Amino acid sequence: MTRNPPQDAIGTHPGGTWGKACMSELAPIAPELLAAVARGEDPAWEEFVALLQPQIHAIIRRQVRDTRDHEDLSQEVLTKIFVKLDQFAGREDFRHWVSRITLNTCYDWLRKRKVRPLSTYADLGEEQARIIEETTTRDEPAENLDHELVLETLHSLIDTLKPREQIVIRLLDLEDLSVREVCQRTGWGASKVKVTAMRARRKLAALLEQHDPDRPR
Amino acid sequence: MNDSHDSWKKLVRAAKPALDRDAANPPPAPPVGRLKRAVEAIVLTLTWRKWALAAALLAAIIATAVYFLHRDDEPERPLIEPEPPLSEELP
Repeated sequence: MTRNPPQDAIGTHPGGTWGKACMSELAPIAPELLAAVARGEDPAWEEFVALLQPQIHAIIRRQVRDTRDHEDLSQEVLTKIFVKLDQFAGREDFRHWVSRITLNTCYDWLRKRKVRPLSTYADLGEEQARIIEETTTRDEPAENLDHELVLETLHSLIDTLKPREQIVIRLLDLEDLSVREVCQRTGWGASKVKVTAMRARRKLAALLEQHDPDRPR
Repeated sequence: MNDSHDSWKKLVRAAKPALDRDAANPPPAPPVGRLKRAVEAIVLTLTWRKWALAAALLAAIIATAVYFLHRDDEPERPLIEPEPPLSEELP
């Protein structure tokens, strides 16, 4: 059913980090385990799910804010991985392949959802507007700043973007990944990622400009 | 526009502590057992659906073949029926 990828292709992490801390120490997936999963061995399948779940859950959690959908998305991703396992050519890190399937599933989900709750700056809550003003008018963040609220505001702003822009900007700006790493994890080309990021940042800048206190009205 | 770009960067920088905290203490993921059972059920459904579709296609092909075979076995009727003999009892 499946082709056995070469030993050195799976389980290595050539890129080093997986973004934020929780992605950095993931156990490699052994080729023998993949072969056992493809043969339908139950204990192997259980181990496989347990190994992949933290990675899948971490990606979904960062891309999709509605926690009610996380479990359904995890199931969808694992199903896709199981069904497409024989298509894994073994030329890349298996975890990158998993990452690509997960991000593309999130992308499809965001596209289907098509809800952009915030379209102008005026739609922001009073608290969020205040936090933007507090943050952007200072050179350094205030000590007593509510960081959770800032993050919530960032997500509200990112939610106004197109699905692909949301994914790219979250990976580049919130997870601190390089363009190369984003390409590895999404399967999108570098120029596409760069152009998408540029458009997204332009839109976000235009949105923030609406609130610039020095802006002539 | 540059100021707005800076504003975005400032916001991202201000959110970093929350991002780091979130990465360090992720909320609990769904239990592995439940996830495994759910995925198995989905895969089983997909497998059944695939086989059901294959069986339906096979049945359709067999039905079509049987229909044409039976049609070919029927004795051919002449396209033009011979006219009945004319009655001799003419008025």
